[in-house]
Amino acid sequence: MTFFGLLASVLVPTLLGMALVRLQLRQRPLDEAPAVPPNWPLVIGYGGVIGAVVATLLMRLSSLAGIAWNFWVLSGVILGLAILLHLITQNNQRGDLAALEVAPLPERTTKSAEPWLQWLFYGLLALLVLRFINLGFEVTQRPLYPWDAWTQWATKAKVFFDAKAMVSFATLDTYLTANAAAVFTDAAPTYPPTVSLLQAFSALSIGRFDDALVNVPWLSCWVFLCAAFYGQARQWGMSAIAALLATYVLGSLPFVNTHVALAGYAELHMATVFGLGAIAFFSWASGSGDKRQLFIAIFLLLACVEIKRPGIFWLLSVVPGVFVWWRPKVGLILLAIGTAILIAAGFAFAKSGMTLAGFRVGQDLSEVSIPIVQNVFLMGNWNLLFFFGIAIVVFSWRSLFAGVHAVLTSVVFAGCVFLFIVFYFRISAYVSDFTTINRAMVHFVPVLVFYFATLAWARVQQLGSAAADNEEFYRGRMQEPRSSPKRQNAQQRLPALADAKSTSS
Amino acid sequence: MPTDITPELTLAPTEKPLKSFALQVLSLFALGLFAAFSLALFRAHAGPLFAANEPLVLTGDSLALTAGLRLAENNLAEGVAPQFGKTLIIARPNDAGSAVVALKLPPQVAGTYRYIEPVIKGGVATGGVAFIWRGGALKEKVRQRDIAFAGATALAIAVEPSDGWTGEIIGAALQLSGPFTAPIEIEAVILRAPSLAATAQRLLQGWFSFEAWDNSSINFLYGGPIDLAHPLPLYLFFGLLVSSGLYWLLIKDGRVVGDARIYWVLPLLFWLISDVRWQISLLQQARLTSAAFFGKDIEAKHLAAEDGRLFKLMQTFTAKMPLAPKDGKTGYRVFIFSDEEYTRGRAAYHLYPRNTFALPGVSDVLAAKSYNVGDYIALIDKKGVRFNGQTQALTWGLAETVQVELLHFENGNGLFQVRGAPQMPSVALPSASANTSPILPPANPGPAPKF
Repeated sequence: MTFFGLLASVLVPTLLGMALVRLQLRQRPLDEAPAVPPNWPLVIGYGGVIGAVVATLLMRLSSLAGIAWNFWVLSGVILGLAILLHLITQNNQRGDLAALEVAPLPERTTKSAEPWLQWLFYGLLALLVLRFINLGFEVTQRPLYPWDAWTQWATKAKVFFDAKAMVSFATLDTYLTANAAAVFTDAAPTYPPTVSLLQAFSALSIGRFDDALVNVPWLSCWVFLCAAFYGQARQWGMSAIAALLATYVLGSLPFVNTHVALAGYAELHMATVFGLGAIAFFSWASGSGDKRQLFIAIFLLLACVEIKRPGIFWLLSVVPGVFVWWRPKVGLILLAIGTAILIAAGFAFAKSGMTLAGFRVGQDLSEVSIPIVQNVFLMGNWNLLFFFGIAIVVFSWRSLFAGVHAVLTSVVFAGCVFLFIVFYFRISAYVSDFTTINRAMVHFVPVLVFYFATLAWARVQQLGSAAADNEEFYRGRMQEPRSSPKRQNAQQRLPALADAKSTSS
Repeated sequence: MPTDITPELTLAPTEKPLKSFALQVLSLFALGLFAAFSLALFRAHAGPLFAANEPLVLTGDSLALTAGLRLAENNLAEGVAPQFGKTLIIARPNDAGSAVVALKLPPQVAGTYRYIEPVIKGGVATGGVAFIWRGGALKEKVRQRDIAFAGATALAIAVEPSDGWTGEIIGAALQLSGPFTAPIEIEAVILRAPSLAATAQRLLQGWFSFEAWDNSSINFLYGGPIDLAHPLPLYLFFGLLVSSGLYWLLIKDGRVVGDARIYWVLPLLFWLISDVRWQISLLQQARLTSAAFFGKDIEAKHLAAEDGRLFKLMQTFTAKMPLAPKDGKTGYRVFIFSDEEYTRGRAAYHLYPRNTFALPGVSDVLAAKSYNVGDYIALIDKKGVRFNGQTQALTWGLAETVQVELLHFENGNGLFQVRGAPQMPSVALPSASANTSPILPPANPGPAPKF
């Protein structure tokens, strides 16, 4: 019963999310090109994330309406909505099941790939499955472990579950004078409740607060992140093996895995919601023409502010990308000017102590570069990600501002500026003791991995084109008369083949 | 197709037959790994290439939790230390929080051995483990090298003449600083002569040791020894640069034709080295998790966790605090105070969904006016508070006092329910400096408290 309850707590919102992702409100014109099979990894991945967020919104609405939570009633409402949306879509699709189409690249599917690539594909998939089993075991067996999880996130979940509704959490001053029956407190009473609501929903599904099993949303979040990432990479035009390689890089990162296994923090959900939202925006900005990507991006980016307080700044980091998409040159100039102003303001207000959106601006400037270098490059947090990333950026420097990559580069740059300001001006003490470096960076990592992957893919495509040109060169040269200088030049480049040729003739 | 084109040319020159591509990739990969490991050895190794002596394994009678080793700055160990076979088991440190295991060393040990590798199992010495010795030119000076751990594995340390490991070594020992999480088993202390193989073993041991979850794992992972002197990611990237550079040179020289697949297969192989290391660590962690928690219900899991004793105490407390009715009007709060932040926060977590107060940085008991009748006050490892059994009052600070009923008292920890408005105490309060012990049993014993 516990297993089926937990499964339902994941699957039911996912079905609603999938229905939302696939929603088509307008009838498909008869003369529109026939649909191709939907990008199921993308639909499932985004469906899972969006469905989870929507489920928490329904829990909030239920609380506001004074209706006590009941898992089966909530699930019934969610399922009913999913069926309704599916029927609308089906009607407008005229029986087709097409949703977000994948660009037809039949030569890049696994079925037509060389055998060793197919083996590699399934080998990487097997590694991810092994990781899933390993992480799933940790999540479901170990009681809530990390510090903030039991001081500020699961505390709310426990109270919400007991009350079968949302309950107010207040700061110390309000708490001491408030009604003890109605107002609670914990280490972070003003933090957004979304992550706590996910835990409460899992607890509702099994009828008790088991603080190992309520962390199943972290495992499902990791799965949906990987699925959606793979789907978006394929949507971008990458081959199946390239997309899975990028997904494996993201899904196997030790720090990401740790936040699944030691579940309870909001970092993984922050990374997933912001990352998938930004990637959906990139996909739409690339000229896919699918407005659903834009709607998904808007929904998820707005949802960032309800995951963690830094979510507002991650949302704002996409704004330069919007400007660059709209007016590339103007946008890039504005980005450069804005960056200079922000950094100058950081220095200027370093000692003022002023507050911005609840964050105190102004810590003494201190040397944090060494801890950042240690955590990013020398320790076991990110494998070789940043080494590869820098190499890819260096070798792709000509493409950084070419076409849609200008949008990605501007968002990545804005994110880096945000982290720079946070590390050097806001939380330097927590950087020096390694507490917050990686937890701040992980929010940004899915976007970074996607950025590196798209640059690498473009570069490999360029090299492949050059190689194809080489092939034309060699074929052309080999058709020249044997005594021609061009053929002799080619023969020097391929001595073994030339020897075989001279032997056979 | 022209007849003079050989069959091989029907393949694109950039896509070789799989066998030759695989050979090329694996060769470059192996060369890169060799270059990376060579660089690591070059940086890490000092001394002769080959060991002049076999490793010296100190076990059994060669280890002694003894008073015989007189070290100027350290108290003698007084732990309970039975010996099971050749393993020395230390149940607890002495009252000063220290346990010292003397090593019976042969003469001329400094000239022969350079690496010290303790084999330690069981509990964790929360204050750390150090190798200490006296010798060399300054015989009275106690020298120390901290033992680093990668997860649960103690890593070998290298002691150099510049550290004072030279001349006659008068005495050497392992010093373990407590408290201990569980009895610590010293299986052996292995001394190795300097050699390239010992250095290589030390490097590989550091890179591939198991890193168990601890309180800092959610913030960062070391991925090897904590001194970061030889970081595996950096060496792997160096190896990739060597492989890539060599491949580029071969292309430039015309010896090979460029193959685009190399540009992603080679980085993948280097990535896999590090990822396989991480996966193995995860599997080892799963074994520990399984041993501790698999097959248990959530209550048993909590009792098996590192705060099991605290959870048990909170179970007792919650039995004394019935849940408030959910009418939105009547309720109570539970105030938890402890001098340890972890204890405070963790105890509060176990008491939710009760309305619990335990804020970070707030270890002092709040002013008496903060409490309403019916609220609870839990004091766990809290100094500076006294309970007067005659007046049934808690007192703390500058004559702060509140009327309470004692609900439970255990090992210096107590649960009280607020009964009335604060009153002046009927007995003189001891001075604040005298309150150096945790909460005391009733100072003037009245009727025995009911538990």
